[in-house]
Amino acid sequence: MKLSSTITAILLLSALPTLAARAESQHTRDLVKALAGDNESARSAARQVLPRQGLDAVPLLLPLVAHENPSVWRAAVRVLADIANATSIAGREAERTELTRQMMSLIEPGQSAHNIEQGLRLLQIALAPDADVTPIGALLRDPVFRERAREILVETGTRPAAQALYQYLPEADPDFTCAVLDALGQLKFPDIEGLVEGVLKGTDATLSACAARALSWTGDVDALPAYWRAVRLADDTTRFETSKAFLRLLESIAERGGNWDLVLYSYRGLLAESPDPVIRGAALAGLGEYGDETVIPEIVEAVKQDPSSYLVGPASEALAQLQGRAAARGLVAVYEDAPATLRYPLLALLGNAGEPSALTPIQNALQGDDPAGQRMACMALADLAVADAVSLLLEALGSAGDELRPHALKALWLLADRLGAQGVAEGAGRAYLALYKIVEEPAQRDRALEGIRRFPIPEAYEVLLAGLEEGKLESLPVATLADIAKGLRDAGHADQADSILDSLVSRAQTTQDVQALLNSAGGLGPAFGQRLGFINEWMLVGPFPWKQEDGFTVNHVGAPDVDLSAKYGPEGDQKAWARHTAGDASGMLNLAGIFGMLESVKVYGFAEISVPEEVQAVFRVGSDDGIALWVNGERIHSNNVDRGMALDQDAAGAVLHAGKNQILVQVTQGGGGWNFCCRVTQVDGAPLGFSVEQAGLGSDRTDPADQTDRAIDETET
Amino acid sequence: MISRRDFMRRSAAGLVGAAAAGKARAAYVAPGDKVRVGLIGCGGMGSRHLVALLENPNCEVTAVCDVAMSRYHDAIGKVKEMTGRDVEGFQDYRHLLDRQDVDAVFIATPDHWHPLLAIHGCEAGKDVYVEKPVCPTVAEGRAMVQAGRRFGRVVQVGTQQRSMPVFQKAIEVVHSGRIGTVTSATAWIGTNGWNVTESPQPVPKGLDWDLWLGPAPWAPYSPERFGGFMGWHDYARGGQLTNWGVHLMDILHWGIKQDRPLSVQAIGGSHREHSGQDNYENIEAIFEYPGCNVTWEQRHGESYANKSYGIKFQGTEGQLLVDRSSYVVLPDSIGIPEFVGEPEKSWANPDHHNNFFDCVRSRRRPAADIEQGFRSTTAVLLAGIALKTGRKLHWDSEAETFIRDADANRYLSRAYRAPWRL
Repeated sequence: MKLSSTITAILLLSALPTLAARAESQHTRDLVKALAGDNESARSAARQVLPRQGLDAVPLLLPLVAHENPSVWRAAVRVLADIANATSIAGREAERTELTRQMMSLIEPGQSAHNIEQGLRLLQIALAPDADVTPIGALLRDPVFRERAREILVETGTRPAAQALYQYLPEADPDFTCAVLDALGQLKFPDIEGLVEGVLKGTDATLSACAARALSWTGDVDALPAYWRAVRLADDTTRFETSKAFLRLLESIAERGGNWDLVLYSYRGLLAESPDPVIRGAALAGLGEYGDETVIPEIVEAVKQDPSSYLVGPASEALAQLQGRAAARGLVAVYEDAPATLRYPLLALLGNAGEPSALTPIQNALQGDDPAGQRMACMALADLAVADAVSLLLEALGSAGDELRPHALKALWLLADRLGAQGVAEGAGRAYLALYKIVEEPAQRDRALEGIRRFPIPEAYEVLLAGLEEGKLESLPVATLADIAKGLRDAGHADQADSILDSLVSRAQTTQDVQALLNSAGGLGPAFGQRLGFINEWMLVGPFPWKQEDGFTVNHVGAPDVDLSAKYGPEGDQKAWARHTAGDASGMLNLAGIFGMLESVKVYGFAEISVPEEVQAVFRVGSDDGIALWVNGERIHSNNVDRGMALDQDAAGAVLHAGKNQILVQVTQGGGGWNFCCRVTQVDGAPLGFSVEQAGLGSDRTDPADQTDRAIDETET
Repeated sequence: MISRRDFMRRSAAGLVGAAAAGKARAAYVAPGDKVRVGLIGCGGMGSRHLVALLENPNCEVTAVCDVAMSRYHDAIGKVKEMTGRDVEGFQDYRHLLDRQDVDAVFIATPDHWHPLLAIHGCEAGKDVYVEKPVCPTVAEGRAMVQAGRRFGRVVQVGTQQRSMPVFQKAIEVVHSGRIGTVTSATAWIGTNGWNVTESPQPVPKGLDWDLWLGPAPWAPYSPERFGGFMGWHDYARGGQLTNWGVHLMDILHWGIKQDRPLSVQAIGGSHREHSGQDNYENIEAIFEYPGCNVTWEQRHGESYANKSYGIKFQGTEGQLLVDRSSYVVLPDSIGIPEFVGEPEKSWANPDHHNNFFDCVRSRRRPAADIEQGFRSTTAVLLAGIALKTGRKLHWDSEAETFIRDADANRYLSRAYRAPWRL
């Protein structure tokens, strides 16, 4: 390439951004025009899009900050704020600098108060960490804007902002000095220590308090003597603020670590010296926060020495902060000797201490004659969550008057739940059983029963069975009671579980009920399944080739006169009927297990059931994959589907004659799992009572004269 | 007791904290005693609290306070009407904190006052019930927690859903595992309805406007600020996001057993002629929590399961949707019927009040302790910051700062207008 061509190319390339910028500017101008127009909808749209224009929009937006229409200037400020936020990320530093430069124009001398206010708000976002804040610092010297400038410098939080405040501090008049010191304290400006310590050690109590606050974040151990001096010299108007600053300093020292003894010593000093109970209380709380079990006696002693009892609250907080077994034992040890006012919160702490020996003082309180102590003890027992607490609460309930009873009952509920959550099954079971016997409101009985279900104990069985016999549990869902039976079975009480399930069969009207009973059935076999309506015994023949588009047919098995002795297919590969029985209560026949993992096949199943009189029945089938169903030769249902099996997937009605009735199913298999189940119910969903006839070879239906091979007719779909 | 002249002198000198602290401590409340309550803020929520408190045998309202004289006069009248008693009213809360016959304060002011009032209440030796959202910024919330612990006070947050049986039972279901492992959850509500327009006017007689502003930047009085503070970023940081958001995220946190998000991102918009609002009408936020994704949906006409607001816990086996009226568990095959709770009679919930009073007496942690309420508030505040900064933010819940984002961290605290300070 020639040199001239290279230069031309460079010039063209360098012009591209300019051209692009011009193109964007027109778009930007249109958006800004919409933002400043009268159409509110257009303004909303422009406000959403404009931040994406970045710096390009800023010169056009800044004049709008002074717009007379509040909707316009507010929208402009929001867009500018969005742009400022967008540029405050790595890689956009140059844009941020330029944005800041332009925004500074809003706070220049001579600008309106409105512009300065909005400019300061925007600069708070836009200023980079190292940005020069001189124009904002200058406003500290303006009596009108100094407070807003101070606030914005604090919120900006940059080092130059802190330096501007620090440089201004000597000029601040007395009224404003504390505000600036507060700002420097909030900014944690590290270079102020010398200056502030000077103020802290001065004679002006107000300034001294302000300085104490400003320094409290430092956690400087060396500042402790100056703080002690300031606290001791403080007058009535500054003592609290100075002491509070001292407390903050102690917390800072503690958080830095390594000076625990000094911190505790200082708290003890405040406890001994401060005339202010709030500060003494805070000192107590500090002892608990940063001390160990050795501080317990002095905390209790402080409460004893406080005639107003104000310290009970802070002392409780202090004691609550102490962790570990040694602390728990320490609480048990001081309980009996503690002032009565502190014993109430101590009971709560003992309950949460996780210390077995705490049971004794709680028991004493429960069995004492102080009603308030008894109430607190009830809740403490619930918190302690040990099995022995059940008996204590039941004992209390047995003798409780009207006042204590609701507290004891509430505690027993909590205890039951907590024991359950901790896996203390026997205790939880006893608690729920007791509650079941006590409560009368149906929802509460259900809740107790749910607890019994989850944590069954042998004693519960008697209660449940009696309830069932007396009809008291009829309102409970079958699923709930079935779950209880399962719990009993899991706990080794199979006989009791079976008894409960027996009593529930006739009530199982929904699929969920039946599923719950099956889930609880354990080792109960097909006989139990038949009581739920499952047909468990089937004659099966197959498999036969099948494709989904083939649908269903029955002609080739000769329905309605099914010949169970017939054989199908070519010589050497003939299929004959054979009896199969479901392996468990679920009534499911696993065809893949019987015939193998095949694809694109079908089988037929045949069963005979007898009912004493004509009845309207509902057949509920589940299948993997499709299924068709004939009753007494009439097809009542087909579902040519590719699916997994679930209980009661399809349902179809049919009238059953008195005596024998023939049931024929075709179950198809595309691929994967292959099984089915069939259940017969009454119209209301309850299982239908029937007997299964032993259909098959030698039965009345088998016609020895008609044992010829039959051709498969696939015409019906 | 401190004199009013001393009081004003201290304020002028910059010692504006609980100026009377140390002299105004409350008496010890024995288990059988009524808790003596001072109400600060007698407006919309405060007046609801007042009625509920006056009906509650566990407490006695002994003082009321509002920057608007007409409001505290109304409150005095309500006390007289319902109890026959005369109580004193104040315009400046510091006089209320001065009283020996106030054991606990109920704070029902605009959001920007919650931190200082709660802290000053603790410093005056009172137990504190503070309305939600706990705080406008994270730093203030942490300071509230510290004050409660430092001075050994009971501090309960007005997230009363913690005391409502419908939520308690719903959470029992979620924690039971019946809907499987909860891997995502959603809280939803309708849009913000507050507009930021204003018509500055002279301060009405009897209103201490400067005190209403308190630590917020100075601004001229307008009825829109006074009556619609939730729309203004200087007083409430998010409209519905922080108003209902705290309630809903509080229950969501409870259900997922997590209250410390790992990250947050958000978008928002006001697409219906409200381009100038401080708070967007519509807000969508996505949080990462350990083991669970969480979304906040603030949309027009948002509704799930016929609930116009609520929380949805999505488990591996099913879902639970809950609001104040009921919860439902889907699919039906899980076998948990819909639970319909007692109709909510008032936002001032007596059960929540009683939990607070029980804790004032027993010194137990309340059902909605300040730390927990602060964390629920923090979540929605972080979403608001993500919305402003327009980027995904990663949260260090121990340091309570954003990770490697000093600019986003600017939104975690605010400067107080002098002479107010944390």
